[in-house]
Amino acid sequence: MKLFLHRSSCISPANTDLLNELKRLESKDSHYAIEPDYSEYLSPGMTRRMSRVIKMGVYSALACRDKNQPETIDAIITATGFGCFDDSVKFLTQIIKNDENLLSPTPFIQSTHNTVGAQIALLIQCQGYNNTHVHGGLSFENALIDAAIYSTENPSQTLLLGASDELTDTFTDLWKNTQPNKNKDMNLGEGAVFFICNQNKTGSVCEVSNVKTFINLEPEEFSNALREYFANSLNVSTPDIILFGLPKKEYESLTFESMPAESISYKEYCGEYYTASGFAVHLSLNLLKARPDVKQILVINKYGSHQYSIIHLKNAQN
Amino acid sequence: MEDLIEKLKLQIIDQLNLAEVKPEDIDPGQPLFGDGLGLDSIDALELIVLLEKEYGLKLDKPSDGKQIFHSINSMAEFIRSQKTS
Repeated sequence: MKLFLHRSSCISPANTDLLNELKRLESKDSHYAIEPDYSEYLSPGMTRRMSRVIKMGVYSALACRDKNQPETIDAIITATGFGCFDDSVKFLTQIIKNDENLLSPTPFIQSTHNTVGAQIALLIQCQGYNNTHVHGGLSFENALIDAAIYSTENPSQTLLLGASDELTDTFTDLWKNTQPNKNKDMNLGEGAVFFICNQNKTGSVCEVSNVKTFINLEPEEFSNALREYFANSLNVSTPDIILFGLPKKEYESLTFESMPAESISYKEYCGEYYTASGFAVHLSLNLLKARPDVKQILVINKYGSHQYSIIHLKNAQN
Repeated sequence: MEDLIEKLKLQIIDQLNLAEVKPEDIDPGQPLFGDGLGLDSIDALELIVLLEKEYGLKLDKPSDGKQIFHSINSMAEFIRSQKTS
C-alpha cells in the first residue's frame, strides 16, 4: 500500500495549527469543534441548509486545497460513522410529531450519509469517483484503504480524502445508554478532516504505508496483533511516535519489543468520535512538517469496545 | 393583510433558515424565486409544507404554484382568498 498525503485541513475541538499550544480537553463531557468562519469558503446562501457536520466537512475539503492554485480533484472519498445525524433526528422527529404528514424536505434530503461527499462534488464540479464509507469506528480507515487502492489504479489522479462526524445531544444520550460502563465517561468529540492525496511523492509530507483494521478483538488479542505487526511489517524496530486512541491503561498494557520514544494520547485533544483516527493522521502530518527528524508514526485506534486499527505513516519529505 | 404579510415574512425566514435576512429586507412584491430572494425548488417544497402546516391550505392544482409563490404578496392573497371563500 502506498498513498502520499500532501495537505490537510481539520476542524476539531483542538487547535491543531499550534502544536505547542495543544490543550487537553478538561472535563469528562461533550466537546464540540472550534468552528471556523465558514463565509471564507461558503456563502450564507450555501450554508443555510447545511447542518454542522456538512459545513465542517465541506469547509475542511475546500480549505485543504491550495488557496492560490486549487488542485484539480479527480475523486472524492469520504468517511463518516453516523453521517448527517442531526438532520436524521430532525426528520424522524417530524415523522413522529406530525404523524407522517407535513414533512419538511430539507432534513430528509440532507440526512443521507453521502451528503458531505456530494456537496463537495457539486461545489468543486468533480464528476469522478465519489464514495462514502460508513463502517462505525473503522470508517476513516476503510476510506483510507479505498483511497490507496483507487490511487494505485489511477496514479495520475488527485483525490480528496476525508471524514466528518458531528456530536449532538441525541448522540450523547445514545452513547450513555448503549456503551458499557467503562466507556460512558469518555470525552466525546467531533470533527472533520480532509487530505489532498495521490501517488506523487514530490511535495508530499507523509506516506501512508499500511492500514490494518480489526473487529471483535479483545484487548489481549489486539496486543498480539500489534506485536505481530511490529515483527513483520515495521522496517525498524520501533516507530518514532505512537499516536494512540485507546484508554491509557490498555495502551500501557501493550507489550512492545522496545518502547517508542514518544507516545501521544490523541483523544485527550479531540475526544472520542467515529472518525477520530482522521484527526490523528492530520496531527501526524503537522508533526512531520514541524519535525523532519521523525521518520515513522504509528496511529493506533480503538472505537467502542471491539474495533481496532493501525495506520502506519512514514515521513515523505526526505 | 399587512399583519399577514409580516407574519409570512417571519415564517419564511424561519422555515427556510434565511438567517442573514431580516423581515424589513424583504419587499413583499419582489419575486421569491430567481432574482428576488433567490429561492430554489427545495424552498418551493418547504413553502408548500408551510402553507399546509400553518394555514391548513393545500394546493389543489400544482400548476397554480407558480402564481401563488411568486411573491409574499401573492402568497398572502392566496391565504386571504382561501380563508374567506
